[in-house]
Amino acid sequence: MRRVVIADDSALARMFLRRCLEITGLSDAEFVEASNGEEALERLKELPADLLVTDLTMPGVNGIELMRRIAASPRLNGLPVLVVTSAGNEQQRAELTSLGVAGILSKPISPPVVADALSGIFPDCEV
Amino acid sequence: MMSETLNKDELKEELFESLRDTLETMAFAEVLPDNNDSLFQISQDTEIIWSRVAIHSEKLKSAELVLPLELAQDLADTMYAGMAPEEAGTVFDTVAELTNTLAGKFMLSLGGKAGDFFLDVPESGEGVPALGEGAVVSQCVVDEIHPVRITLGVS
Repeated sequence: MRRVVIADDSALARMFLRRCLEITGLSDAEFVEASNGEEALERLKELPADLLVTDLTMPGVNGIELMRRIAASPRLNGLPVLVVTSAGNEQQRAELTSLGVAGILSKPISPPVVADALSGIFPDCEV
Repeated sequence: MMSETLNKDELKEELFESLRDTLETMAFAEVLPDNNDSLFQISQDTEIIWSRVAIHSEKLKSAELVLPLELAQDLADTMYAGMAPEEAGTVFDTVAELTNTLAGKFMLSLGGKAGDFFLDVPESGEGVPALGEGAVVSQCVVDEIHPVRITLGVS
């Protein structure tokens, strides 16, 4: 079973992301939720994860800082990360790309967009 | 002052399109234009809530969504498939996320015209906020009966 950590300060956004992931091939995954980057790091340190899906704009440790810490961590570096954001200017996108994110998706997301992003991370994923 | 590249009518149109796409994608809601100031003609007993997200950019400074509480509850019920948590913050969280989403979509729709930007975490409240000087206002009707106002604060 795959383990997916979802980080977003909005409970609605977390639910929406989870539902999209469930119907695009991760129906049997274990989902763990975090409301900011710090919580996400704690969840990632507790147990290995197969995917992190994170917002950019969160109170405290935001998505960019979260990615910086993941990239700097020998244990977490290499974890596939999808960034789902309302913002994401060119400078942020360039930094996220250099930090190794697997994809940057703009809100509002839809299942086809999520399915496309997942196919690059989990080629065996079937909708 | 807005430059010629940020025409007020274009901004109103893009605001409307951003809200329509956001509500259709996330809540399957029907959004139509409204030119009748309906938000200010409804009963004073109607509870109104709002959410605002600060935009850090050269020319635009905020996006605000104002809507009836009843509509916000309907949207939350739809998005949670009837299983919305019975917590006081659920409706405000829903409106904040919708505002955040439509603001980002709106800014991206402008391409480079508005310059580089980033968004703050949204804030929410009750009542109808006053309009700031020079604000760009777009009004619409959701699901045929609910008036909604989107306001863009400009620098």
